[in-house]
Parts: sequence; structure tokens; C-alpha cells
Amino acid sequence: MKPIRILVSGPLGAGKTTFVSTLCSSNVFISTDRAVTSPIEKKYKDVTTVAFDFGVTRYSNVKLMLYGTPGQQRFFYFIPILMRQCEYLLFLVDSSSVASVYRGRALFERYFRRKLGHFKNFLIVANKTDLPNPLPLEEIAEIMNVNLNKIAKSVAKDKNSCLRVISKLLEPIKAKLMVNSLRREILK
Amino acid sequence: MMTTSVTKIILIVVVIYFTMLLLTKFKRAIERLDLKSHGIEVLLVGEDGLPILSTLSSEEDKLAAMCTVIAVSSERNMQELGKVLDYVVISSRGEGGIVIARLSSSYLVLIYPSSEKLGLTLFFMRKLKKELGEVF
Repeated sequence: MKPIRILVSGPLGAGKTTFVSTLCSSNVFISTDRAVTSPIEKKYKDVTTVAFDFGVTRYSNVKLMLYGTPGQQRFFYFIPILMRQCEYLLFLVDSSSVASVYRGRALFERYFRRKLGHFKNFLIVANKTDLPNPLPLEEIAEIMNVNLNKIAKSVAKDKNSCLRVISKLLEPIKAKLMVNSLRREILK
Repeated sequence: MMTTSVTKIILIVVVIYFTMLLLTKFKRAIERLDLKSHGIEVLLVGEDGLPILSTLSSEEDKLAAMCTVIAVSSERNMQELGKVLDYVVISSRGEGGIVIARLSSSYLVLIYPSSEKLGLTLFFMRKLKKELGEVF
């Protein structure tokens, strides 16, 4: 089976790098994090992704290639370049911050809404649900203007939580993945 | 209350003084090498893609971000090979190009026109690197 390419996008501080690193740190993980110099941006975080994150992992015997986009506006020109490569989209938002979800909506409308047909499937991931007072999924769906079944919750630091998101994202090809897995077992 | 306000003012004055000092150093270095007459533009970019100083009149924000992406990706490539990045050259078809050099905590970008030789641009880059490398 061909490798599956997943684009991990979202606004600044949504947890994209953490998500990719948690899933891929045991295999291949390339990060281009650099220290933040602007005092305004430093309020949000100390390091930021410049260029992209890249990770490789395996799921049901299929190779998954994850591409994380940068969250800073000045690097947004890189999103369409990465988008061309990917068949699936995970759009992360920080569910503990209403502002982050609204920033996510703006980014989603600008780069993804009209291109959703390009992806085989997409999910809006309500990340950081372990933090106090996360927004309910219904509210996130309403702000992002998507169907509730397109929302998944996650804690990017927890591998099982990330795997559950991947499982939901790849649900349309679940049967194909199972056949592939069985074939591999038989060949062994 | 009064003391904190005075401290804040002193801090602002110190920051402005040092910024002016850096700006003067940058301008002097460029003037000494007479880069303007060679048609070479210089841009100093922070590691996170924000422009610090520039001789460009416009489009510096976008170019700064793009150059950082290239430099950081190249740096990562070199790291994978166990080497340290010195500089990156992006050349166009007979219309000059861009040289990006690594400084201690920033990137030095030189944009050279078609009339200028790459070798000379690299020479200027080394000279500038020597002068600005200690500060930036």
C-alpha cells in the first residue's frame, strides 16, 4: 500500500509540532524549531516552527508521512506547497483558548475551506483537552463552521490520543487497511 | 511607582541607544564595502524569520521569511550529514541570485544582480560576516 501523507496544520500554538513528534519520535522526526525573538510572539511560546515539521510512522502496517505547517503568519506561503503533497488534513486548534479557535477559523477559511475537495478526509482536532475549561466540541464545530462528526479531541502529548485521531481520520479506508494488514500477516 | 517608571525609561533609552549603535555598525559596514554601487542589497534576518536590518525598500518581510525557510532547511540537511552550514547560494538563470550566510544568531542575506559575479558577492559576504558576525 502506498504511504499516506497527512498535513497537520493550525494556528500558532495549537500543538502541531508536539502532535507530529509524539507520533513519530520513535521513527523519523525532523523539526525546524527556532527561538522566538519578538517579545510579542514570546508571550505565546519560546520556540516556533520555521519551514515545516516532518515525521514518519507506521499505522496498521501502512507508512504514514506527517507534514506539520508553521504557525506564524509570515510562513503561511509555505502551506499551499505542503498541501499539494498531502491526501489527508488534520487541522489542530487549542481547545482551551477561544482566541486560538477563532484564529484557526480565519486560517481555515483562507487556505483550506475551498481546497477541502483536494483531501480524501479531514478532521478538526480540538487539542489540549487536558487543560482546564476546554471548549465543548459543539462550540468548536460551530466556530469552525463544520459538522460535529468532523471534530476529534486530542491531547498531543499522549500517543494513544494521537493514534485515536489518526484512526478517526483514516476511517474511510479502514477496510483497506485491515486487508493490507492481513495480507502482511499471511505473507509473514 | 516613581522608581519603576524611571527604570522603564532608562531601559527604553538603553535599548534605543544599542539599536542605533547596531544600525550605525550595519550601515558603516555596507558603506565601506560600497555595496550600493555594485547593486547588492543586504538583509539581516533573525532565526525566526523576522527582518532585523535591511537596505531593501520593500518586500523585505516576505523575503526575510522565505530566506529563513531556505536557510533553516539547508541547515537541517547539513546537520543530517554531520556538517555545519556556512552559506547557501540560490542562483537564477542569468539574473543574479541570493546568498544566505549563517551568523551567530541570525542570517545574512545578499541579493546580487546579473551584472555582479557570484565570486565577488561571496567575497563581500565573508567581509560582512567578519564585521557583523560578532554582534548578530
